[in-house]
Amino acid sequence: MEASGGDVRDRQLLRAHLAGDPDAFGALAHRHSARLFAVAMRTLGDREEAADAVQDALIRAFRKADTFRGEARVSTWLHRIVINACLDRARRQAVRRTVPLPEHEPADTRDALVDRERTLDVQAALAGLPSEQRVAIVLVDLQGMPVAEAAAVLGVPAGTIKSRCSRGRARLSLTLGHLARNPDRHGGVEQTSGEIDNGHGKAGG
Amino acid sequence: MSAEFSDAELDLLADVLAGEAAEADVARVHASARLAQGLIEFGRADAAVRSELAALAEVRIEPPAGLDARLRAALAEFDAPRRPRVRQLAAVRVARAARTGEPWLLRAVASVAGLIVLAGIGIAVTQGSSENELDAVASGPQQASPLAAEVPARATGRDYARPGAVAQALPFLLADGNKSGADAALSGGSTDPPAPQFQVPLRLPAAPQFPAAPDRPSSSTGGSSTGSAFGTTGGSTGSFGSPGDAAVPGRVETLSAVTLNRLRNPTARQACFTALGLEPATMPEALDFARYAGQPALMIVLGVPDEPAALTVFVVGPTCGQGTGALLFSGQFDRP
Repeated sequence: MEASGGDVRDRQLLRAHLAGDPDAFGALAHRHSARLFAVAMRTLGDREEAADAVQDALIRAFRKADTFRGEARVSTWLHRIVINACLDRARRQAVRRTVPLPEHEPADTRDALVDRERTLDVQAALAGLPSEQRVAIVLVDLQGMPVAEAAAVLGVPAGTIKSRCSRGRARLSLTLGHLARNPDRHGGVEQTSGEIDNGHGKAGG
Repeated sequence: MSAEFSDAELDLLADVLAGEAAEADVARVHASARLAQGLIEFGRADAAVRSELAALAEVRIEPPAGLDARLRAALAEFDAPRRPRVRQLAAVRVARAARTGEPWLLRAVASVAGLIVLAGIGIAVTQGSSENELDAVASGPQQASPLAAEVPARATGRDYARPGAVAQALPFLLADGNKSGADAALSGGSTDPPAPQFQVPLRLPAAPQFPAAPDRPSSSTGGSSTGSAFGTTGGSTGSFGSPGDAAVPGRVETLSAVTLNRLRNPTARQACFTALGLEPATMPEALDFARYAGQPALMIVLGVPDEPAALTVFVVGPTCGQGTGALLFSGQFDRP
């Protein structure tokens, strides 16, 4: 594992924390909190739950910092703890699959409304995936994490991440199939009418 | 989608599409017109889904405005005072021996001589002092302390010499909520539990400060707990001897008039923690001003660093930290 400049700084902060610097872990948390929150938010679909999960995870990292072996990036280690906290919360509390409104309400134009509706549709479809597929898609497709790093976060082979992503996208294609028939966004996708089912329960079994 | 697929077929098509399927599975898909058509359709849909996901990825997710402040506050809860360092007593002894370079026999002889002197002093004090007088001498003026205010304390009067008493008490002691009669323990009231045995002069073990203890006082054994009673003749974990039993050899009456009120004073408790091999600023998870074999005793419950599921428990007599043997029991327990 090659340490980037950011990771070098992260390791310095973690070492300082272990050496008793009372501010070091706070600085480390600040460097990553926004990204960790985004992962938690996309995994759980609820702002409060996501904030709680990040808090739980960072407290755990704070207390277990001496267990970090240095084999992965600090950010990978933090992501792993956050994902585990999210999955724990999802399992324990049967998280309500709410779909939050965007932070800033879009202007009341037709295009904006269509965009907003699509965002909500995709978020809802994502929330309906099995958790392991959802987490893989969140990390790779939404957070832009390389497959190898996502594999390190989740502790599984890279091939498993690819498989989870493709299986998750296959299920999303059933749910979101209707979107492909109206490819007026992001350049759209060439699509023959009727090729994509509307996705309501076609994949039985 | 022009055909319906089972979940297994859906996964198969997805794996083939991702290039993650075995050769036999790829051959199986291409051998079936229905699956082969599905593969084409999924390929097209996959591009659409990726496009939608890419659009969703562009939606910026802002963390809540106060997230960083909230995290700082939460982390502050776990600062050093809440993370007691329980030093291994054996390691402390070894380190001390290494520092001083004294042979163990010399130190043992010195300890015995010291105890004889202290025993003599103790008897003299017993004859000439009232409890309150000695309390004042031992701990000085009782002062309110921020440390005292934060320690969750109770005064149950429970006798921890009974087998299983410590483990039974832990859920209650660590529970939030009503601490009736306990908060008074550190807020100015008497800490001595209302047990008639308290009228009996103390007989504390005359053993060294850490008498014949195993290197590690005890160890957790998966769902159960073990502990060591000190000042007993049997030495068996299951045999909780009574320090108050005058027939037990090796005990002398010492500092008998010292009451548990002394350990209400944070300074006295810090001296006690030091004697136990703990950091003076250790913040216990719970205190119980209770009894041990009928005598006043303070139970100290500590978290174990890096073992969140474990607790270390010490039961000490009122003279803890004053140079005489006051450690009555110690053990490690599973957190309830």
